[in-house]
Amino acid sequence: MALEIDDVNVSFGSVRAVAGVTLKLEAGERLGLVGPNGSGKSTLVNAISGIVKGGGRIALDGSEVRAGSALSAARCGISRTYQSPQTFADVSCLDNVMLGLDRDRTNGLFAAWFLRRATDRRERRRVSEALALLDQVGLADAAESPASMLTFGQQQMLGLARALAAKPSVLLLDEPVAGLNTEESKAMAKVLAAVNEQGVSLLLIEHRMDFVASLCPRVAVLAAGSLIADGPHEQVFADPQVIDAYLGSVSHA
Amino acid sequence: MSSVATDRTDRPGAEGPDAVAETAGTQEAVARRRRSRRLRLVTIVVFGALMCLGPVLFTTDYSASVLDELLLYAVAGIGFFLILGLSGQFAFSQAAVFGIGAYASAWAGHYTGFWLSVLFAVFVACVVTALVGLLLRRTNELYFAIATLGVSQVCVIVFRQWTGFTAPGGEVALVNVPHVFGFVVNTPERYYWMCLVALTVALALATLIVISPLGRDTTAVRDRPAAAAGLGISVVRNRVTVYVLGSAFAALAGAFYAHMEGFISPDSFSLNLGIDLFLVVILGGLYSVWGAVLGAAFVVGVPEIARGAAEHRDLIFSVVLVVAIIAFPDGLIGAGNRLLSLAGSLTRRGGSHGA
Repeated sequence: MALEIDDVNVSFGSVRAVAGVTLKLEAGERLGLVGPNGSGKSTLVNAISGIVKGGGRIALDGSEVRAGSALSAARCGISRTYQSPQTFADVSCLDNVMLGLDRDRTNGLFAAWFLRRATDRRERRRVSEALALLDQVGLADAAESPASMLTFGQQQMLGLARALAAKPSVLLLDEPVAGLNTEESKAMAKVLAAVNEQGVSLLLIEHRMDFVASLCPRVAVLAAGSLIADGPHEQVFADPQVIDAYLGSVSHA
Repeated sequence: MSSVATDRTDRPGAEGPDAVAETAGTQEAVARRRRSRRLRLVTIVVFGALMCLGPVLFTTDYSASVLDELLLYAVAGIGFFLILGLSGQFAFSQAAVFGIGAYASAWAGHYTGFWLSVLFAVFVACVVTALVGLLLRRTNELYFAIATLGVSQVCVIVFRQWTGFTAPGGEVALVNVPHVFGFVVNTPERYYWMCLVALTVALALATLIVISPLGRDTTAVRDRPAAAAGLGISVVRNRVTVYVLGSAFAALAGAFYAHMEGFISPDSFSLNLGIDLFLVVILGGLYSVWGAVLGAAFVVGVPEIARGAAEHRDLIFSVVLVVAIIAFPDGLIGAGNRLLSLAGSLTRRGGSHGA
């Protein structure tokens, strides 16, 4: 029961953005993924979520994710947030979250015209679940406003609620608190801890080391597309190689 | 902080105060959605009722046939709104599909009655566009536009060259006259009622799509395909579904048009019609089914009004078109909405002064 990343590599032309990364994320685990800019963190997360196509093997609980297929990743139970929130600007927050909720035959053409009663019933349940998720991220009051009206921090929260709507077993977070103020970051940490409490594994990319340390007992470090360290955060942050490649400037600051 | 997402109890009294507030919020949101749906459908019914005044405008067979054409343009335009506006697919095939509807119903008309031939035409158009949509599933935006333009050209060539049931040059007369509840629909005035019913039903069906989960998925796929796929929405399936669906509206309009005219030739479905349909949707406004209705009124209506100017007609239409596009960047429907909200704020201000 885990996310297995086996020898994953991604190349853009002649640039190897991710060069054979092997990682395993146990169910319910919280893993921080850090590294300097351009080290391949986002690309790795993009490969796991099927946004970019890479080589190697990615599997969740034994079921393999088809390389480069975001749909396949979603169906396997991998959900994600984005560094720029990627919310659907023109629709309401409620609809944004409802887009992530269970999809089945009541999302088709037939349902729109003929299965009115069944569709209405399911929509009602979706509304109720989406409102609960919005409440969980503190956006209950904004349910009917379009996502474009939200602040950046709120959009990041909305992105999280939308990702959670899919009831993922693994949640990938690409710099969820970049650009958020202290208040918002605290709220984000609290929600993420609660989500993890419910059994969702977290894979967190973040540059703010205090945030990573507070949330993730285990940390992996990427540099130039390769994993250079993986272990408990106290140990990793003390690793001379990591300090040299990434943390150097931070510890001198 | 624990989630209440799955904490759903149907028995009253079993839930805590939080759960009560929860369901109240849900009820409110669901009721709001219901009201919005009802309002949209009532608006369509009112529109249909108002359009029953159409015959007042008929003074001649000719004016009736212009109105019929306007209604059919609106039906095809609604289909195109679904493809271009809701789904964001630059399909250039709408005119050819209109032609497929016309020719398929003309062919089927030799073997069966009017209604079955229309049904057959819609079916053929769905099969053809489903194949085209699946073949072109990897193309995006401009490439999809160019590929569908190519498909349209192929269709026009087939209309012209395949003389299985048409005269050389692809011209064919239609033999069927529709019968509706015992009425023989054989004049433009009588066709008006059929076209009006078609338009009202098309408006209702398209509106239900827009507000359904399918419409929601479609908007998401249009705006952010990668993020939508990440939520488990099949981008290809969604795009092909809406492409086929929108094309079905065009085929229906084409089949009606062919029977109304009683005679079709490939030239009727060339690029000119395609550009007209583009104008219907873009000029009308890309984000509402009503845009297609306003756009059709403009594209069919303005040249008719300018008819008196004889040889300057095209010039007048072109000038009015350019002015309209500059004046209403978000379409006639956008201008209408702005006008409505302006009027609303004026009356509100007037009201607060009065109070």
